[in-house]
Amino acid sequence: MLTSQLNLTFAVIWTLVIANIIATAICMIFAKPIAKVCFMPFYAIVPPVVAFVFIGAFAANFHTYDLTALMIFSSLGFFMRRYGWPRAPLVLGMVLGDKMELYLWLSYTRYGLEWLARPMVIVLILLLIASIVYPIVTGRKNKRDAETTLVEA
Amino acid sequence: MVYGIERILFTSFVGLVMLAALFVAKDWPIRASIIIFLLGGVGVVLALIQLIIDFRAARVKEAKMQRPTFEVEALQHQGRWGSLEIWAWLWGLFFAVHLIGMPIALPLFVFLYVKLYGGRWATALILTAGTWGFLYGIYDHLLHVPWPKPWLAFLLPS
Repeated sequence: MLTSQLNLTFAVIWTLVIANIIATAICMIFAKPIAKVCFMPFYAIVPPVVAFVFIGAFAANFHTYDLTALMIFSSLGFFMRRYGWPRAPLVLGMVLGDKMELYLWLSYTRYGLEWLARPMVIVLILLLIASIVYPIVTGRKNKRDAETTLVEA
Repeated sequence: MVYGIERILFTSFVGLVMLAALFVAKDWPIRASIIIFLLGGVGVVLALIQLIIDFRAARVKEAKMQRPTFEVEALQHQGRWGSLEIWAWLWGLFFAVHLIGMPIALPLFVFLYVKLYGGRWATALILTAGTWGFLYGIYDHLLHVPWPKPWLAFLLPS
């Protein structure tokens, strides 16, 4: 496409650029009026939002099984929120899960389990472990510092 | 203390779901099961760690133990019926969609919700008309979506 239909390629790129500029302008113009939604009573916000959520779920495959999935994942989300579990990683996993599975399989078929020993993978695994351990260690340190301050006072 | 037990039960549930996934996937071909083994394996270990944290928190009175900072603030109950009320609405809508179909259930839900929580007639009617117009205009008229047959279809006018 880049060699035989360069004009079309540039048209697509420029369309995206112009669309983004227009979208940004519209958002900036209507930001204030849209923000006023926050001051509307809940009974005027909740029903349309719930209705659109149901329509959106149904529109995925035009089947009521998607509504069942909606209710199951709504319940899961509610309990995660209630017990202090972050929901963002779950959503991220849902979005990126397909790609992760594909590239995991490609790595496995190409290198077997040896891909786990590659330098970049080791660095990423260490970063992952650090992201789990660091908050626990700092949390404990803060708690210890707070207790020490309390005893000294 | 009850809250602590609820947390333990929820964490156990998540861990058991991961274990069940591992058990179900053990006979699958490697192409299908590899991601489940990887994520399920990590998930079970993390669920066990979380379970230990929950048990320790439950032992401390009022569950005021310092928790790891990657956890988010838990939702507090808004009165005894706070959560049940909205869940009743959602499950009610879910069953209404199955019983009488989406084109009727959704506008009906919008109307009833607005009116039962003290909205004015004008607000209720405008929002109901907007929802019905959206459903009919976009999905029925433009996209010709095949609505699933409701369970009580024999009672409804065709």
